[in-house]
Amino acid sequence: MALSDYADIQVSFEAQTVSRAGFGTLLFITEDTTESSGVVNGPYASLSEVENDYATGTEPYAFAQEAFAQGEGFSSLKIGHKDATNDTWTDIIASIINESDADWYALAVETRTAADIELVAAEAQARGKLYIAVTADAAVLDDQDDTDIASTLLSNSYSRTAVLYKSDGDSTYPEGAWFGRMLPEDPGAANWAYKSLSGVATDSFTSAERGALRDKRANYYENVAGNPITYGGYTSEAGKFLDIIRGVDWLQTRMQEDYIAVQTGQDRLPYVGGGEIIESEVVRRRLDIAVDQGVIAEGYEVDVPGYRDQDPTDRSARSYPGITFNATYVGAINTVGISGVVSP
Amino acid sequence: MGAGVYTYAAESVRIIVGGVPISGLADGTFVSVSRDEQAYNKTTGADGTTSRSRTGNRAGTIAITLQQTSPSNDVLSGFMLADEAADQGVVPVLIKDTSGRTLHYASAAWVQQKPDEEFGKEVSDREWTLDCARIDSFVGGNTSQTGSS
Repeated sequence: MALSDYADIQVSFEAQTVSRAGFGTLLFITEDTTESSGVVNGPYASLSEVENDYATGTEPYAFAQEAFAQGEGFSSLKIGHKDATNDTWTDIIASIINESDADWYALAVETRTAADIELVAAEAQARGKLYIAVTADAAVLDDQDDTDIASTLLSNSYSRTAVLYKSDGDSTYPEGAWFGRMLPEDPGAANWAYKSLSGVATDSFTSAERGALRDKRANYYENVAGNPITYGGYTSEAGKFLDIIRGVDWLQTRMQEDYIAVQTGQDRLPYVGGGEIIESEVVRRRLDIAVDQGVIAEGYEVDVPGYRDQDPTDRSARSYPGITFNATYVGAINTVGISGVVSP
Repeated sequence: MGAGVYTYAAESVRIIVGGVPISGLADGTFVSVSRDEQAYNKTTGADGTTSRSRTGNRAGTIAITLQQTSPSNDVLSGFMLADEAADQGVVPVLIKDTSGRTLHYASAAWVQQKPDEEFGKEVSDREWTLDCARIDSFVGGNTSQTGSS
């Protein structure tokens, strides 16, 4: 079921509907053979719950260990299964969403192969999920190379995929740690950059390598002035950052839910005067919450056409189009320029 | 100078409380909106220098006056009782003149107290006062019916 069939609310780009709990839920898809293809286990709220289903030497356990190592907040991990021989990554994501479980938002996968990552990124983009792809390919560090996975995803403007370069990424799951650290945060209210991850080793880079990573919008984890930090919260679309994507997805999904709550909470939503009800209960109310939550800035604008201004065709179809708003992201600072002069 | 006729229509003022349209309004003034505090406080010194300080307080009250027969009394009573029973009476309030550009919106409002009641031979009014944590307001004019020349 898609809420968009009932409330066509678009906030810059489309998100697949997930429940309130699902917005903080992470799905890890593995080729582990504990379960058959398409099975999704969880949600798991702790590593000990995962341990009941997966042995300590398995990939799901290793992933969960990193995700749950980030503190008390993260509490919703699902583990999906792919058949290593018979399933493509495209097929298994579609199968899980259509047949097993679509109520999750964040996506991580076991594969580190560039071709697989491309397939997963395309699915994440089409299905409104948020995917962190990890690569250990040193070509990402080469500013002359434009065929590496970060460059490829950037050329596709995948706003729902973030590339994380980790030199040991072939044998670790730093994306589990990053998701585990950030998913408990209110959507849109926290920068994914400048975060320390427990149990994750830092890399070190030359200035040229760091420049290449930034140019390709690949994220990385290094030690800066004694602080291990993630940088820079990029997605693989210019100008789009992880906090903004998640914040806008949250806003859109909650507005759709609010609309359904209004519809189900009364005998009917009248056409005459209904625009004002939607303006009050759905749009302005949710935007005020978004302001309080630090997703958007104060001073948003809302425009609701009167029922007399609606096209007769829309009125007869019981459709009320044309409700719009403009808001500004609160955003975040990643770099700063400070200059000064000290004179004798 | 334009030659338009600017029309206000009381029935075009929509009042929505907690998603419910309010009806059965009193004759005369049926809604009023006021802020608790002025936007700036002014201080003028002995030498005539004037300073101002921004209060930042946008809290206020909305008074809605209904006929005693209005079904919206039941709606507001319901919000009041929900608040008294379980603090569940905080709701959004929208007041919008759909024949013009005036709009007041409070995302968190609640019934301050129940209206004073009186019963007589004639239908009397019930004035509900809603407290608002913050009221965003735009006081606009009305729409020209004939346009400008």
